[in-house]
Amino acid sequence: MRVVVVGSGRLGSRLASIFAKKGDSVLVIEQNESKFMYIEEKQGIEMLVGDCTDEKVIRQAIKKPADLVIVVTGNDHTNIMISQKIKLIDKTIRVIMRLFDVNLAAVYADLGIEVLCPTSLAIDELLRLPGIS
Amino acid sequence: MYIIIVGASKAGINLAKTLLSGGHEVTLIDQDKMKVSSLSETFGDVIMLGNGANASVMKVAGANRADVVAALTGDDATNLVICQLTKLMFKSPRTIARVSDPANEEIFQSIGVDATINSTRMLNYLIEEQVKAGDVIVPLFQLKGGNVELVQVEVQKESGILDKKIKDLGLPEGVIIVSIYRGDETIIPKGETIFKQGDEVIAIVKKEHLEKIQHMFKSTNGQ
Repeated sequence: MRVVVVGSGRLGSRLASIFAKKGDSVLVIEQNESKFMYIEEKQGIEMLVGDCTDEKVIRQAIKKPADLVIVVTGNDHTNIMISQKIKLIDKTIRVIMRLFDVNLAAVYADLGIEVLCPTSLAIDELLRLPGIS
Repeated sequence: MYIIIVGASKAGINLAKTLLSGGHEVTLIDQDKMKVSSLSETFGDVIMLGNGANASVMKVAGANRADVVAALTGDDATNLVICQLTKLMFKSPRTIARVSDPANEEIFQSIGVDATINSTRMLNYLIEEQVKAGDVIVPLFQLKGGNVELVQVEVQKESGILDKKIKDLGLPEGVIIVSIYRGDETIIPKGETIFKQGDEVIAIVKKEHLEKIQHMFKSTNGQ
C-alpha cells in the first residue's frame, strides 16, 4: 500500500514509522524540515518538505498513486482545507484527517472525508476503563 | 440586512463601521479577548467574543437569520471553515471570504462560497495596472464561478463615453452598470443616464469584456 502522511508531528511521525515497518511505501510531507526529527526510524520513509495547502505539492505527493492520505498537521482548519483540496484533485483517494475539535469533527464526518477525533477517542477509552461509569 | 463579520481585522472593523452607518444590523465576532474588550467601547453590543468556526457561536450570533456571513480573518483555512460551516448548518446566508493566497480561490468556489475577496490579487492587479499606467478598472469581487467580476471603473476625461446615454453605448451582453458615484450622490442608472467625467462606476463584467470596458472608460488621448 502507498501511504502519504501530511504533517510530521507526534502522530504523523509515528504513523509513518508503523506503516513503513509493515512494508508499506510511505511518504511524509512536512512544511518545517526540522520536524522530521520526530521520525525515529527513517528507513523506508520518503520525506518531502512542502506546504500541502499548495496544489502543486499535493500533486507531487500523489504522483505515485496513493491508496491512503492521512492528514495530521497540528491545525484543524489546515487539515480541513488540505483534505478537501486532495479530494478536489482526486476524489477516489481515501483521505483520513485528524480534528481536535469535537464539533468540527461531527460536521465534517458527514462530508465524505473520514475524521479521527482524538478527544472523542480519549473520552470513549476513558469511559471503557474498569471502574468508570 | 443582517451581516455577521468574523474577524476584527482592520478590514472587518471598517466594514462593520460602514455597514452600521448604512443602517444595517451587524455582529462582529473575534476570538481575541483583548481585541474584543478594546473594541467594546466603540461597538457596544455589536462586538462579540467567540470562535466563528464554531457552529454554536454562530448560532448565538444569529447565523440563522443572517443575510450575509463575511469571513475576514487573516487565515484562509479558518475562513474556509467558517463559510463551510455556515453553509452546512444554517439556513443559507450568503458567504463572503477574504482569501490571501490566490491559489486558494478554487477550493472556496468548490464548496460554494458566494464571493471571495483576494487582497493579494487586488494588490497585484493594482500594481500591474499602475505599471501599465492609465488603466482604470479596479476589481472588487470575483463572483461565484470565477468568470464574472464586480469592478469599479472611473470615467476619465476625454473618454469616448462622456456625455453619452448608457443605452447608446453599445455595451456588450454580460456587462451591467450597477451604480454610479458622482460626488456625494449615488445614482442607480437607467438607459437614459449620462456619464460625466470623474464618475466612479460599479459594474458587473464578464471577464472576456474587461478589456473592452477598460477602453471605453479610458481617456482617448492615450495618457
